[in-house]
Amino acid sequence: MSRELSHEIDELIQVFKAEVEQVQSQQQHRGLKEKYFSRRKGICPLLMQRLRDIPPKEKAEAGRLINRFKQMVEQSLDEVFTRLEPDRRKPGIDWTLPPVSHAPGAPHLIERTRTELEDIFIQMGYEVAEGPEMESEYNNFTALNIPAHHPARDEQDTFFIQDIDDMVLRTHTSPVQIRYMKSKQPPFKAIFPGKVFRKDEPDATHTPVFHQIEGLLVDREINFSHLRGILEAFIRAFFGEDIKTRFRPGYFPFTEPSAEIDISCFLCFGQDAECRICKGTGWLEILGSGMVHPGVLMNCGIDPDLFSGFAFGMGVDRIALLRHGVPDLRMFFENDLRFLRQFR
Amino acid sequence: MRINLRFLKQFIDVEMPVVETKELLASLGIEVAEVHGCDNSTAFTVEITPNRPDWLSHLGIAREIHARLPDLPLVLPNSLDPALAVGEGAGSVDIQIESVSDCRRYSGCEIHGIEPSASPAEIGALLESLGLRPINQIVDASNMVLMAMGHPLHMFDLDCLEGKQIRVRRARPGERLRLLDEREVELETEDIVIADARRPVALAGIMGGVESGITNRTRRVFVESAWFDPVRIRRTARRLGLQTDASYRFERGTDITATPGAIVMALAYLRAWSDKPVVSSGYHDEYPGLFLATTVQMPADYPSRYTGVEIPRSEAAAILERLGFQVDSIDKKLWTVTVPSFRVDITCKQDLVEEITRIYGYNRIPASMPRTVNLSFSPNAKRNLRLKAGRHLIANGYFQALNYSFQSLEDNLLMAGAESTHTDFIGLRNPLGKEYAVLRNSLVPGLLRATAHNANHGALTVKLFETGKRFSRCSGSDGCEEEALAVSAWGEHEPLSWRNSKVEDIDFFVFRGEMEAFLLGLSVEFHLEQRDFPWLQPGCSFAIQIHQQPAGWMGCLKTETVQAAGLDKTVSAMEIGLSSLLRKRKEQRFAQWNRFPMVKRDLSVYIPAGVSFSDLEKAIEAHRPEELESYHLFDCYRDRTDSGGERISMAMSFYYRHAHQTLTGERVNRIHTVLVNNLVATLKLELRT
Ligand SMILES: [Zn+2]
Repeated sequence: MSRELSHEIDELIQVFKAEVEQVQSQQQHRGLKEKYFSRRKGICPLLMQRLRDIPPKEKAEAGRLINRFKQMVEQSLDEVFTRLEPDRRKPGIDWTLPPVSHAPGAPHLIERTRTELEDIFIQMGYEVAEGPEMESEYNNFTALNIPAHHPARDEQDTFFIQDIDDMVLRTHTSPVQIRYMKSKQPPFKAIFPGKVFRKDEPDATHTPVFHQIEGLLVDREINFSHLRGILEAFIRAFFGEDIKTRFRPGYFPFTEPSAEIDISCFLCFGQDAECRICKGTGWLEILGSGMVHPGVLMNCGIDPDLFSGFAFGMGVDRIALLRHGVPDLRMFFENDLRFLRQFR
Repeated sequence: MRINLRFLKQFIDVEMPVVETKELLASLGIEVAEVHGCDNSTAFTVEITPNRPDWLSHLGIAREIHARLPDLPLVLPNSLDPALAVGEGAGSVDIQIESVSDCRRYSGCEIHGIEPSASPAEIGALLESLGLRPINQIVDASNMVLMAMGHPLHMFDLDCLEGKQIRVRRARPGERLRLLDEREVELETEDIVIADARRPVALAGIMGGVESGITNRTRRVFVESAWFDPVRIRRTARRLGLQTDASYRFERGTDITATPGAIVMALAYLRAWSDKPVVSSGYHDEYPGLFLATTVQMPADYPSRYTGVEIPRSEAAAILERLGFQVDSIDKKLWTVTVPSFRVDITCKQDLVEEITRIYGYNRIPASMPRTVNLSFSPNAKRNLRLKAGRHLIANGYFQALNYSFQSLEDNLLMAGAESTHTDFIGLRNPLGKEYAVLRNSLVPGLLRATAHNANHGALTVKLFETGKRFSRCSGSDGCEEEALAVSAWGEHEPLSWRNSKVEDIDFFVFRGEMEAFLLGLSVEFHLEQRDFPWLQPGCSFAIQIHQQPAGWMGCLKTETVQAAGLDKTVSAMEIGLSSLLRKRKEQRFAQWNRFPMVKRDLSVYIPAGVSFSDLEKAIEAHRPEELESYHLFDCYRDRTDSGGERISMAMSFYYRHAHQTLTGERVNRIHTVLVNNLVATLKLELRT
């Protein structure tokens, strides 16, 4: 019985080989596949059905023969298929024509950077507080330990509001910290993003309007190492795990001690003496920070004997400029689509 | 300020490569901005923060280095008793101070037998490397003292001081003074002057007068070494736009105990340089504002607690002492620290921690994470809204723009009524120029400017938006600001393509469609009402209501405005107050949709002149049958009547559905006919057949 079957399969193989050589199109391929594998009348299913009539002793051998045949047919059909030209499509429509264009716009690079920076602090549980661009001199200076005639006022050339006494365009977002501290009970942590204003003629490295994000944390027993912990965590999250940081003494009237924070140059890693952004120093100045001055806490009704805190600030425009290689700060305010389009 | 590294070695014998010196100074808080090579030495331009006037000298810098590198001793300048160095008595100058708060100390002496000849060449070279011009021995000596120990001196020609008097007093009304730079200034009663018997001879602490200055004829000199009130010096210097090496130091605060030493040092220089004997006499020290040292109390463990790193007490105390402080007893729990006279910036224990930490090394403080959790939480809804609005607009092809918060008066006037004047806006007292004179009352002029800029650079479509503050005068004289969202669109709607052979511009209908989809996407309930705004084309001008309250406007900018910007196509724009988008809408509840079939009936009518689609809508609303679910305008065109007049034809579909049953054709016809008859009657419509 199995011998009979074996002969029969040998013949089937010859026939199939001749047939498969003839296949030129996907249509022929489909036909052949139908012939061998169609559920009801296909050659392979019919062979399988015949297994029922084969005596039990020979069943295993017969099954092996049939399966081997089946596999051979399948495999050569697959091989042939890959050689075939695809079907000629329905004439008239070229589906590869370009689509109806629907180009999206883009967020402004400053706003995008600001959102990214904010998101890191939001994930660390910081609130986001905002405040007015037009501020009292008290909130912008006096409450921050910068009394009238303090030399530090020289360093922030200020726009004054006409006809409204003691009002300025804020020179930093620190006045929002004052408003926040006055309205909240510690412990708290928050960031303060926004536009700030300094009377500088626009050039490649100055614009009279720019953007800051400041941050503040006040709690019991907060110390300088906490400041370092938070800012290093932030720097790693934003600039990358392999970025190194360096703390230097600095001066801000509203913090004591104060620190400037540099990060290792992410462009040249200190390897390029002519580096465009670090000028060969290997370091980029990125943040100002410090422990909140007890006088500032007192101005906001917080007892410096019970609470301490740290504050920090950074320029969004500068960070965006460094990170994306923008050559001129003024480009941020030109609203040229050739610029905006690059930062989708 | 400049530091000459070779000169610095007179105060501390520091020997290291330039790069390392730079790093060392940076780690102490002294930033080197520039390095200059000079005559067999190197000079640094250092940036000194305003809190550290004591760093404005080589001695001050040397003291910091000594604090960090205690093995290198600090070489202090010779501190001879001035009375011995100068010689008391026989002085002819009478010194009087009018107000002790203006001038707490005035020391002076006379020098005779000196000729204003050139200083030695190496002194000239040193001064030049420090950015100073060598003049003559007398002036150079005062500059050397300035650079060495930071105390400004002033040299008068003694023979030009009338009555041999020095009066430190306020200027009198109408007094004038010709300064050393030949500028003549009008003095005010707020200014401190040095006067002789007759007139002011110097602007105290800022600049001397030309009439009493050192000239080639000078043979006798009066040296002034004084302490002046920082705020007063600063105010006068600011008012007159004068910043001198002297005023820069006085306004930051000088060391009141240094005045005699500065005279001694000047004399030492002059004696070293002159080949003739330099005779000095008449040392006089007028010192009504006696110095009392500041003391600061600090718990001994505070530096460690405030930094988060264990700094040994002995190390902390040693650092303070190297910096010139005195710690009363290191073993006490509470230290009393005496602040040196040159440290005008130290007032509290946190200041002391900074001193200790600076020298200890900022980078030796480890990082640790605070566990602070906010006591209360205030979400920022505006930020979320801005981001959501931005995402929607960006997906629809809008680019986010960013403009200054100030613009020109003309820009503000564009967005205001015809009767507006500059007093309606908030101006800047000191703007950068006319184009930035007022705080913007609208974000739209900035978008228009950006549109024109891009159109000029070949853009075919410019779709922009911006969120930001706009400003107005409120309650009379006060200034108010609110955040607004502005959107504008100009140019081609769908560009020329294989599918689209006719380019359509973005007109108001396209824009309004996009903006309505945007507002729906923000889940606000809104309503547009035709209303004229002065900056929009009459008719193409709508007020936007959000949740039944005024929120903003939408329309096409006036043709003149657009043309003046150099644009030849319509600019559609919208501006809304951001807070109106935050108004709470009613809670949304599930409603079961209608399961019965819908029946459609069309209506074609001629609309008489003067009737708008909005009138038609209002009439439909007024007569709306309960079964009318919605309607839709599917055709609208103009044609001519038989008599040659113009008429507008509109064709609409009405969709009917009943809430509880299937409507029969007959019943729909009845309902529809009633509605149509009502419309025809109210609006005098003519049915088209
Ligand atoms: Zn670099």
